Amino acid sequence: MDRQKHIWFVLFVVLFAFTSEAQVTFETKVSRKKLGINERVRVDFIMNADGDDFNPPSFEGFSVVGGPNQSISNSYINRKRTYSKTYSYFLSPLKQGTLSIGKASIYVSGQTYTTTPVTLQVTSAVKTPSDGLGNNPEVIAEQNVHLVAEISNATPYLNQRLTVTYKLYVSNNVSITSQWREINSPRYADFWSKNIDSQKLNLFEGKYQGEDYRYVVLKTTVLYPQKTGPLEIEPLTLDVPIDVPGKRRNIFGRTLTTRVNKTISAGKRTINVKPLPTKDRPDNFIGAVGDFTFIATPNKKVLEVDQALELSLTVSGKGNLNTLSLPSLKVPSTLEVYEPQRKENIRTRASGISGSISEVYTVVPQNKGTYPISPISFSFFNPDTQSYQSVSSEQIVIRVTAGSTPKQDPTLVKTQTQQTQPLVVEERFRYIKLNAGLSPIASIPFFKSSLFWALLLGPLGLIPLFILLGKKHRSMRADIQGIKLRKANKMARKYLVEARKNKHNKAIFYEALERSLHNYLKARLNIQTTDMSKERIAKLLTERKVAATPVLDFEKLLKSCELARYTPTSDVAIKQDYQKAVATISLIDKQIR
Amino acid sequence: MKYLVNFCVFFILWSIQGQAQGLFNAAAQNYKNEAYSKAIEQWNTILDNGEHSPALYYNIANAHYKLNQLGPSIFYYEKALALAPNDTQIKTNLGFAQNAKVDAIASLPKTIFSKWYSMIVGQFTFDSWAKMTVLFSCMFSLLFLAYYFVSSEQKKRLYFATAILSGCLFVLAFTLACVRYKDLQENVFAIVFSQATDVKSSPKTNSDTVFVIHEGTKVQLLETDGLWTHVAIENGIDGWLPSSDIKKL
Repeated sequence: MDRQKHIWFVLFVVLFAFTSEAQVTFETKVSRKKLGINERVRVDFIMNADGDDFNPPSFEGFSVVGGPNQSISNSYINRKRTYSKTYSYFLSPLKQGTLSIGKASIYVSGQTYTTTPVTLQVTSAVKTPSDGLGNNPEVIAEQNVHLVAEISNATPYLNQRLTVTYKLYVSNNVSITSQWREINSPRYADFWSKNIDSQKLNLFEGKYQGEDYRYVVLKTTVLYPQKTGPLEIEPLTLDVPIDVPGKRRNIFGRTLTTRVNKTISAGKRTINVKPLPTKDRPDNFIGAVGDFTFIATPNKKVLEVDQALELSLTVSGKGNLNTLSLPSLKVPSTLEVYEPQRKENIRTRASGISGSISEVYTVVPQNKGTYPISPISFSFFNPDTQSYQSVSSEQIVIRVTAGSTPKQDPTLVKTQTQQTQPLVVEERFRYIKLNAGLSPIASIPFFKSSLFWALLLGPLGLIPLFILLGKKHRSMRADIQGIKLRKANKMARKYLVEARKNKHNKAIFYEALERSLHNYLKARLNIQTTDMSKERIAKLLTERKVAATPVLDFEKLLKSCELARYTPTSDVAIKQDYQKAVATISLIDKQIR
Repeated sequence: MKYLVNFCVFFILWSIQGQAQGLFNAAAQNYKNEAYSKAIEQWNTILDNGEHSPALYYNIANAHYKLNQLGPSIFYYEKALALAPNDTQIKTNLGFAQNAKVDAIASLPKTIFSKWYSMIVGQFTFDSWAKMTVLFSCMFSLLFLAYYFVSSEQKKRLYFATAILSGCLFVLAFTLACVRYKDLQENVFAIVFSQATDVKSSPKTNSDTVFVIHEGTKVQLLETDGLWTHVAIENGIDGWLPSSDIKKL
């Protein structure tokens, strides 16, 4: 049964749709969806058919301050009938919060239609309460025109680009037909800023808080924060003439508009600027934020002495090029370098600053040679990857050849103070040596080695030795008599020894004894063999203070020697004579002077 | 025993001498053909085998210079000069290398005495001075003996004068040898090898940077503390830098 009813209903609806072109609509319209507690709202229940038995909702949370007012409009345009019947109420909210207006129902040609419930937002009291009629142009203007500052990045890094875009939203209810005026344009303290004004105001369709609006982009500002921490952006304030359509119409049926001058501003915004991370920060980082490339290029690599070359360091890319400082050039000290010339080629767009900056150094070499210029590295923080990056230039080698005219240009005044005088070198770089002349590295140094000490002290030690030997030699040479004496003694002893050996041979014994006696005297008295008479011997011995007895003994010995040659003597006599000779010689030796 | 070992070493070296000479010449050929890295490698092989000479160090330095390696270049020139202090060829090329240095350090003004000192003492190595000492010692001894033994008055006077002179020279040479030896023991130098290095006020990474020195600068070593070395540069300023940034001469 229930099901059958449904089918009938569907059939009826379909038939009705086909038979009558105008479908029945019944809806609730509110003048505003958001209102203060001290404001009123108008609620219209509109239907396009002549319905009966209108049943309003209970309006819970509201008090009905007006209505219901019924109005019917019936118009024919191009033979087409437009009919509408409206029940209006003016409501005043009783409490804050979300309130809803419930279903209303109507009965049209045997069918009951209902509206969908509408929810309203009731806020605290507002200053200029709207009467809910929508008749106050000031309120309408305020509600339909909005200025918005859109910030691309509310938490940028130091020196990271951000943009502020000012958009003027205008709803379809009002229009702006004449030029607005800027009352207060923001100054951006603590920012590097650049305004990019829109040349042509293009109208865009967009949404503002969920409702359809038209908007224009007034201007875009590119900002580079120069300070960390919360930074405030001053609001932009405009004086806008707004045309608000009124209720009345002129004779041509057009609505009469009221012009309202309204001051609107985009609210204050606070940007929280983050400091650059300290972790992994390169030592040579000097505040570049963005994405860059870095090159160093000389205009020539081979030149003559006193010619100049230009070396340019170029940073290009996107980022804070305007406030960037380039790494300084480090060149060999004997190259003269002048203050660099800075060249900038920067474009600022809404997407940020891009282009290149370069510093051109003039370098004048003073000496011949090869000068390597070590790679220069440039570090920057890339906010996209949130990391530090380093780029290095290539190593540059400058070859300086001898100049044709090695004269000093007096106009080139040295700008660098305290430059050391370059070493005066000969004109050419010398070739390698081809003679190896190798020696072991581990060799012990000669100095302080034992060989050194031996060679050092040896000759010095030899001096006293030589002196000693020399002295002895000299004294020996000075004592010739002594030598002779020793010789004679030696001879005497030798002959006496010879005599003693031949004690049993009489002839040889006496011969030897005589010879030894003579030899002794020769040595002792310095007399020659030729002059060996007994008288002379006695005289000489006496002269040398020898006592008489040994002299006599000596003479006796000599006599007995002579005698023994011719007469036989006994062994006893021989023995006696030998003893006598020894005794006499020793006695003479003692006494002789 | 020591001499025996020395002799053995010498003998072994003598046997590989020919080989080293061959390597030296091959490297020289590579240098000529501008294959500098290869030449350096071969020359270093000779050094690794325990042989050196002023010429060898000088050649290695030249090859490094050609490769624009300033630090090693100056290092080997200094090595060569230590063995042959009067070689003009080495001095000339060292001048070229020093021209390419980034640092220009004004040296402290020298007194006339220190100038004389470096002019005289720096002329020879301490071994040469030692050899001279021995020579003067022999001369003095001979002349003194000659004076002592010669009888002629005139000759005696001549020998005495020359003996005293050589005696003085002997003392001088010995003193200079000692001084130079002590100088070398106490004043140890190093060459900066890294591109640029911060010289800190104390041996800590986070301490203040006193100054920055660059490759090829000669520094005097004062003391070490862990991985840090206390150095002084020519103008008398001192500071600490990482030991890995320098190479001792």
